[in-house]
Amino acid sequence: MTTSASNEAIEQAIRAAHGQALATLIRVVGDFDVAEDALQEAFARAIRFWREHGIPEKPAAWLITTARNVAIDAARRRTVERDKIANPLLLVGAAEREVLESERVSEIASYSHLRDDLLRLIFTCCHPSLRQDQQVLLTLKLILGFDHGALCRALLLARATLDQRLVRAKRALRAASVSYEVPKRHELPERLAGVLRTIYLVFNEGYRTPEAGESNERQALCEEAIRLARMVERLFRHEAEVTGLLALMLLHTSRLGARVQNGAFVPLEEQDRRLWNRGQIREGKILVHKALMANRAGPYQIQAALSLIHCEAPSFEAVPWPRIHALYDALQEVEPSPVVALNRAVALALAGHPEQALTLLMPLADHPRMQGYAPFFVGLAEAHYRAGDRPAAKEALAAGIERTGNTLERAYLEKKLAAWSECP
Amino acid sequence: MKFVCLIYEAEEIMESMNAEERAAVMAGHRALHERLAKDGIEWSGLPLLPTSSAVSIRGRSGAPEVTDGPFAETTEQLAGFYALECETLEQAVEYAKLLPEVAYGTIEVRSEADLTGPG
Repeated sequence: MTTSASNEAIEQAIRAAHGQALATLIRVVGDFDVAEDALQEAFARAIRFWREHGIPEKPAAWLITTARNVAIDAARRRTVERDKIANPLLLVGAAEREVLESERVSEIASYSHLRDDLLRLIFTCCHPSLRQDQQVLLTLKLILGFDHGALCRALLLARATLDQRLVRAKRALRAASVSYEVPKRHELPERLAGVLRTIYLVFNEGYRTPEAGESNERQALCEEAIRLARMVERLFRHEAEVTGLLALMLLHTSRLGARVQNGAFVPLEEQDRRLWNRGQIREGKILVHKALMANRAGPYQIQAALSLIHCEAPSFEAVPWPRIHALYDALQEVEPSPVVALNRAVALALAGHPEQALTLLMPLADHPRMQGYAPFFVGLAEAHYRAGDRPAAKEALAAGIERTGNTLERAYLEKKLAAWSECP
Repeated sequence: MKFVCLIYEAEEIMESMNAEERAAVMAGHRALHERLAKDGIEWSGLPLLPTSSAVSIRGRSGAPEVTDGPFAETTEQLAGFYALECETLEQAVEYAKLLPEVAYGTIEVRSEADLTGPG
């Protein structure tokens, strides 16, 4: 224990412990709302106590013990609600209360209990009866420990909107009578897929190109998604898709440092690769290799393998496009979608077969999801350009610019269009 | 004699470190390297990727099987190691004490065994 701690370190410790603390507390006091309220009070005490005495070695255990005592004290004062405490044997005596003040806080439960606690909370936050955006909201708040200010900034919501959504999300959970438990074995694959989907949504919130003038703060969501994926990976060590998702997010994140330079958007083909994070690429690479060794390929693993090819290429010119195309073939098999078909066609164009690419891209134009999808038109433009049809390329690029909301990306595409209009 | 300093730490701690804290840890290791060089101590060592990318190999009966790394039952996991050429255990321990992980993890110092028998 350090002799005192900064506010930042305390906030960090609280955030890191939030998921486990809440999860176990829910089991210990037997009620979701009671647990949440008690934990809030425990946070307030932690901030005061830890500032003076330093952060304890096991912050989660400290928080659970404190919150449990808060819950029990509160229940005693409202004797009617004493029934809410599931196990009266947990009522705490004076001796135990001293544990609060002392340096050593005992473990609340064995490792397997803690593991199940966290699993229950994760599966509950990602319950299929909740809308995707509700799952994201609850995951950020309950597991990753985002306070209301951080939630507003992360999801770009006004405070009033956020409060409304939180109330509705909780209500949706209650309405569906979501039983607070780990899913049955036969339900696990689908439920786990749901959890991974939510984690990836959190990641994508953070991955979006920031608007001109916007700070990089939302990028922290990428790191948080990675942290959550690591949590889930520890709980599901044998699931190749969990490893795959972790790898995918690490590899994407590794390139973030090069994406905006001097306020301008820099596409992959022009990025300064020295700015890429080699440590994350190394970890992503080994995770990909490990996942593939398990021989249970899935969409996240394939996407991670795709990202790895880009991360390892010394330059855009050196990217092995036939390999990229082959991986998109594999992805189209396991998770077909028009976006995958698009990317596969673009890889074909970049591999030197623009006419073939155009044959694949034209029918995609009719797909409803492609109508407003800027990358489709940008990809089409590239294929036309490489096939030698400059007018068609410019027309497609203009259509792509129209559909691009982000001002930085738009500025980049407009420059490109101008360049195509200049040279013969 | 060779002594191995096995560095154990809870991976969650590493994961929730910010850039500054990480930099401080790396600086701590560099300081140790400088000290070892100054004292003329031969050494080698490696930082390791987390157990999420580890694989285990076992072949109790028949062909070796490759499975996942250690299940996270332990509270601390192996994060790296040093091998130091020292005269005594006490000397190795003095260097191990300089590792930044002492503050939040465990350093296990193990001496190399001598497998030669009598004669």
